[in-house]
Amino acid sequence: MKAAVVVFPGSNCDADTLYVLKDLLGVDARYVWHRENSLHESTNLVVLPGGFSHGDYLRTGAMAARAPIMAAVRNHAAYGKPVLGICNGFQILLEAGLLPGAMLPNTSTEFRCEWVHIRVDSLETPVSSTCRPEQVLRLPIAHGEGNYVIDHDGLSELQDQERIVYRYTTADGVDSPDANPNGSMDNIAGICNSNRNVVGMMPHPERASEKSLGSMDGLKIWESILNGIGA
Amino acid sequence: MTSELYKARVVIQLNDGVNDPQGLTVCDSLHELGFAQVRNVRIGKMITIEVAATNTDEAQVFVTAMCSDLLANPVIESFEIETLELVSEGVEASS
Repeated sequence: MKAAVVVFPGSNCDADTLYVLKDLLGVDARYVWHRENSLHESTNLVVLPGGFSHGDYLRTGAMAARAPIMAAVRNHAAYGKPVLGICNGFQILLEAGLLPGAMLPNTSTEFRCEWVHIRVDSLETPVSSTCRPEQVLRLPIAHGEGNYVIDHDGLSELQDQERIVYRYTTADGVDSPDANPNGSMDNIAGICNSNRNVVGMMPHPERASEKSLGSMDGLKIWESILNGIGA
Repeated sequence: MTSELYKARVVIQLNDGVNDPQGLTVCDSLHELGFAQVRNVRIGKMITIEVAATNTDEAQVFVTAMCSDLLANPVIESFEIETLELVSEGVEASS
């Protein structure tokens, strides 16, 4: 199992992600700089980590989505291999058109840095295959723009094809407006593409993969990925 | 190759119906300052671009492509090239 953690100028969860994959899970994980034109040979997994790539200038993820490495990421995705975008990584996948929709500033106008609960609403993705149906995970978020929007038809498509992988909920798994930290449509915390191999999510599993960090629920996500690859 | 230098002024706005937390916040603030007349505020971006091109039509094509490829996100935004003016003639186009 080989994983690539793509590093953009302004990425700041790259080290956390590499640490979890490499030190905690024993994966052969490496950084790949955004100016590179190719991924390491036989890369199984690409992670676009959180951060503020290019200072969030213009729109979150806009410049990163057009970086040289993204052609290789696109190619990797086209082969059906898993791509996970976390937080800014999710925003980059949207800007790259690898996932549908867009991000707007949180309706609260606040930068939200807090623990949330998300419910696993699809098990048919690389990031949820070992979860229980409707399992509730406790993970941290830290973002100013997680207010996911998509047009009416696009939202229906996501719902009908069960491509909303995670929804913000209460600790009991109820997707109420109160449990939504950013105003995202249908309490969306994470979605996948139609091939189900490209996933974007706002919460940070890499910040909840060790007991000392207050939650190990993030491990469910990494274990699903490793299980799917057969590592 | 010699070409002319044009200056484009591009305005990017959120599409109607797209939630604009920034605009709503500024609207609230204007109300608090006593501007009770304010009914709605929408915030967009204004970008000026200096571009080398052989003529106005070519400059227009370049700037339109820039808007489509990067400057505006068609999922939530629309763009308009508000003005496109000749700044100077006979400049050296870089690469």
